[in-house]
Amino acid sequence: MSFCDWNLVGGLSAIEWVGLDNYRAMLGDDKIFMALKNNIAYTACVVPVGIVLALLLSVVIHSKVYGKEYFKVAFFIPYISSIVAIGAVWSALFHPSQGPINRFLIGLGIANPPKWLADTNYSLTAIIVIAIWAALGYQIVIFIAGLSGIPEELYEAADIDGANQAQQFARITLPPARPHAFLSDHHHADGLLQSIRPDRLPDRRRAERVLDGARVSHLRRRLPQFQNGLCVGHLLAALPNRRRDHADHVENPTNEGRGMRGRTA
Amino acid sequence: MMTRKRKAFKWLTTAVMGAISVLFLTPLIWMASSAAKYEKDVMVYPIQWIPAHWNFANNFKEVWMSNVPFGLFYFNSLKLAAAMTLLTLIVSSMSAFALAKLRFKGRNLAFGLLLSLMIIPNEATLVPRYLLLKWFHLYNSHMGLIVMGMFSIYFTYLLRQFMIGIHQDYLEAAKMDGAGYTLIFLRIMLPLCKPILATVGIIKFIWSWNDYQGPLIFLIRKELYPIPLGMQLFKSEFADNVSLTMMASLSAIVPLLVVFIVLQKQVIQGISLGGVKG
Repeated sequence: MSFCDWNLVGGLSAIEWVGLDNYRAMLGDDKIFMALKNNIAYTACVVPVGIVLALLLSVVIHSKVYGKEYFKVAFFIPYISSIVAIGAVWSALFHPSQGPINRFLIGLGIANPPKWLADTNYSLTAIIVIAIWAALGYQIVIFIAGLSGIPEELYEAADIDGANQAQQFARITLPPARPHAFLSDHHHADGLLQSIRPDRLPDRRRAERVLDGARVSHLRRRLPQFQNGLCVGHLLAALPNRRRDHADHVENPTNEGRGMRGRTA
Repeated sequence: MMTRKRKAFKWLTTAVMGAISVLFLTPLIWMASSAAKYEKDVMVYPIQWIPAHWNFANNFKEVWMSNVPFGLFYFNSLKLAAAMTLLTLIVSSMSAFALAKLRFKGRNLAFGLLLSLMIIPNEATLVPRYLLLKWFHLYNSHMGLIVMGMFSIYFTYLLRQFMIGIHQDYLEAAKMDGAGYTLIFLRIMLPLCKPILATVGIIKFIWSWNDYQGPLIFLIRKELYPIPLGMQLFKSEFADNVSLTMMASLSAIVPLLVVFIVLQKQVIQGISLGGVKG
C-alpha cells in the first residue's frame, strides 16, 4: 500500500501504483524530520533518566524500607491512570500563569518561568517529565522482580568481607539488574512511544509542531484526507525499535522462563 | 548495637521514601482536591490541599448530569472492557493451550509466526484495520472494537509460557482416565492457570478501559464513546472550568483505582512475570 496512491473514496479501483513517490513525498516533508528529531530527543531523555531513577528507587524499596507493598502500589498508580485524565491534570498544573508549578517557581523568585506546554521551547521538557512520571512505577515493579532473585547471603558475605554499601550495589545488585534494565529499556522506549504518545497529551494543538511524534498524529491528519500511502512513515519510524524488542524476547527467554518456573513450583 | 543503628536507618529511609511517594502522587492528590472545590478556589496559591469551601457534590452533579452524557460513556467503557476481557481470556487461553500442550505439525512455526507478528506496531495496522472494519460493516460500532480487542498475541504468549510450566503428568493421567482435550482443558488446565488468568484479565481490563486510540479512530457516533473519548469531549466543552475537568478525570480514574488497589497483587505479579509492555 505504501507504494500506491489511493483516494479511499474512489474505492478499490482507484488504487494506483506510484512506486516510490510516497517515499519521496515523505522525505521532502520536513515535518517528518522534525518529528523524528523530536522522537529521538524524547527517547534519549526519557529512557536513561527513567531507568536510573527507577533503579535507585527500586533498590531502596526492595531492601531499605518498611512497607514495601505500599511503595510499589503508590508508584504504580500513575501507570494505571487514564492517559486523558493525566493529560488534564498536568496541563492544569503546567498552566503558564495560574498553574501551581509556575506559581511555585515565581515564589522561588524566578520572574519569568517558562510557559511549558504553551511554549515550543519547553513543551518537550514538560512532556518528558510527564512521561517519566507516568511510567516510573512500571519500571520499578520490573526491577524489583529482578532484585528479588538475588540471594540475601551474597550481601551478608560481602558485609563480612568489609565491602561498603556502594561496593555492594555496584558488584552485587547491579550486574544481575542489567538484563532487566535492558528489558525494561526496550519496553520503555517502545511502550512510551506507543502508549504515551505526546499527541495524546495536553494542549496538543499548540504543541503539535514540536511534539509531532512521527506516528499517530501524522496518520490521524491523513486518515480523514484518505491518503493512505503516507502510512509508510510509521513503518519506517517504528521498525528499528520494534525489532530490537522482538530480539529481546527471543534471545532472553531465560529471564522470563525463570520467573515463570519459579511461580509454578 | 549495629542492628539498632540499622533499624534506625531503615526507619529513616522509610520516612524519606514516604515523603517522596507523596510528592510523586501530588498531581493526583491535586486532582482530587480540585474536584472538590469551587472553581474560583482551584488556582488559589498557596494551594489549599483540603478545600476551604467544599463543592464536591455540586461538581459531581454537574459532571454527571451535564449535556455530555457521562453515564453513557461509563456504560460504554464498562461494556467494551468487560466484553474484550472475557473474550480475550477465552481466545487466548484456548490458543495458548494448543501452542503449549498439543502436538501438531507446524506448532512451533505457528508460535514463531505469532511472536514475530508482535513486532508490528499498532499504528502500522491502523489503515488495514480501518478498511477491514469498513468491509465487514463493523466500522463505527462497538462490535468492531470488541472483535479487534479479543485477540491478543501478547496474552497468548504469556499464558503459553505459564502452561508450559504445568507438568505433562497431569495431562497424561487425565488421558489415561479417558478424558478428551476439551475436558482436559476445562477441568485441568483452566483451574491450574487461575492465577495467570486473573492477572491477564485484570491487565486487559485496565488497558481496554484506558484505550484511547482504538475508539478514536474506529468510532464516530458520540453515543458510542467510552470514557477516554468522553473525557476529551468533556474537556473541550468545559475547557475553562478546571474543577469540573478534574471531577471528570477523577471519575474516569476511580474504577481503575478500585480494581487496582483490591487486586494489586495480581497486577504487579503479572507485570513482573512477563515484563508486560504497555
